[in-house]
Amino acid sequence: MRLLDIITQQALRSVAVVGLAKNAGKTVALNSLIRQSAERGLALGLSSVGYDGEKIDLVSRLAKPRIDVEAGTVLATAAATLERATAPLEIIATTNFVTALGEVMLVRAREGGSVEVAGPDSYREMGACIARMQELGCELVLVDGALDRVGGAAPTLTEGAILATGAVAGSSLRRILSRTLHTAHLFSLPEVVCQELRVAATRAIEAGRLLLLTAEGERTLPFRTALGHAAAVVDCLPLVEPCYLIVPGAINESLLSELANRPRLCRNVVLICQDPTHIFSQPEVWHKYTGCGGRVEVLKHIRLLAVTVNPTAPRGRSYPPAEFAREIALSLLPLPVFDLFISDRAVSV
Amino acid sequence: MEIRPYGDTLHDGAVQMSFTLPVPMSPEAKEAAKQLVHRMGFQSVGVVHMADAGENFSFFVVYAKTDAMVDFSTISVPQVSAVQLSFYGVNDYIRREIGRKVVVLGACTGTDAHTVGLDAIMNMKGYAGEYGLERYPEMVAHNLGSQVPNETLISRAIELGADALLVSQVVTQKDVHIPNLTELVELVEAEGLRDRLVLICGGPRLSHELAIELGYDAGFGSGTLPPHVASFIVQEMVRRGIK
Repeated sequence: MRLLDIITQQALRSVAVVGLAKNAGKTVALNSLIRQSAERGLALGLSSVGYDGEKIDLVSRLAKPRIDVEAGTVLATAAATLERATAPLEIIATTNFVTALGEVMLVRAREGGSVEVAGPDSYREMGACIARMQELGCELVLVDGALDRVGGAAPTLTEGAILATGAVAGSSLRRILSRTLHTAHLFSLPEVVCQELRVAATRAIEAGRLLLLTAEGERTLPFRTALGHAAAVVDCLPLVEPCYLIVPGAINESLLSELANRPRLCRNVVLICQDPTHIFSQPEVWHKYTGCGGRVEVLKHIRLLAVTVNPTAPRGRSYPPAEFAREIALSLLPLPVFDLFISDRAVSV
Repeated sequence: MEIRPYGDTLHDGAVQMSFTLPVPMSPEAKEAAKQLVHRMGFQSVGVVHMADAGENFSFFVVYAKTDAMVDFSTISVPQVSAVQLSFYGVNDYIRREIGRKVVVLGACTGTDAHTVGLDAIMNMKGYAGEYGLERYPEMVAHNLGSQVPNETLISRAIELGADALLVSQVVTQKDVHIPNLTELVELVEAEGLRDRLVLICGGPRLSHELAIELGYDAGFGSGTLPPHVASFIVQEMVRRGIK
């Protein structure tokens, strides 16, 4: 099975390609999807959170793979990137979304060639660009996540996600595996099932207020965010009763550690947030929190379709490709894992 | 237009470089420096200065020539596009176009404790003859100092109703600034603040281009003065309709 087959089987119309770090292989995954879409005659749209496709890595100054599009591909990209493309581009529409590289334009490639893509600055604008590309007839829109930003995978934005990981994601195989598994785990956190709870959570998130739900009823906490107030927020929780705490913005390590430090309380609490892109935690703190019995549920999780691996870090360690891919594939079973540097097909374990 | 470094005559490719080798100062160390530069692809290598750089280290200044060229006409670098206003210009602009005080928060985030750059932009007494943002009557500037966690910066931004965040990152060894800077953008998005905030990063190793890749609105490198940053903030606010 190839990467695109997974997307088309589930009839997804928008997919994000996000990475655990720079140089994890997002562009390679993207190019692979573009090629497979062209073979199948699928009308493709493409945009990027931040800026991608530049020849030289802005941080390491090493050459990067270019984004190669086929004739017919639609792009949502800032004006200044148009002249850097080798593919002839035709402007279809403007968007009024201005970035530091000029206004985001909707353009169509008349022939194949390489392009640089710099999409809109905010995820809200990205959502609008995805919708515009779909209106223009794109059967599949791909969103390239910049650097290690995973926000493009938010289910409010895209219907599925591909995660790129690799040797750059950690200093040892153990660390790479732990970070990859952790992200895959966060993406597929359980969704809130109870309808009543969903309604309350949606309301609290829209209002931007922390909401506490216990058997006795609900109570709006005097905080707009849990950031910077972890201890104060935790002080508001009941000592023994089970409760749900709805966090409108981000759930971060301070909140999780604060809860983990009070194990009796931690056991009884379920944190609820919008989706996995609102959770900011490294594996260590997360494990401490869940180890104490703490739980997190989301209104909508991320449909993780596949993981791609890059066994080579541009500077630093490289791993034997076959073993590396197999190791990751084994730990992520049954999720399909691809080493696109070697083959279009999923790694067999 | 193809160009290469200029030394004595045009296009002679003359370069001066300096580095340290982990061996004591000696004729062998000098030869090693020479061979190293030769291996880098340079010609006419000459070690013009060698000095003891402490225990078992030696320091070199080397002249050499390169054949490498770049086509200058193909190069374009994205630049901050705001019109440059003066101290008075910025304040007038705020009174005229925004009609309220602009709230700016600055911090050296993460583990970074180097506040020199941030202070140059924020401090009332200013830098290089230009007042810092704290002196601007139409701005409310808060300098949160060094080693500020991203979460604190954001919670303070919500509390104070910030219009712009200035994030300073000086330490860039092993690219530690990258995950720290992207985490801030992702947190800002998660808190639903991205549309209401002008996000700026700065530091000697940061360029506007990198800032854009990271998802910031602008990046300022070395040589930036307070009015550069202030001009961008106020014009970006008006352009995005942040009022």
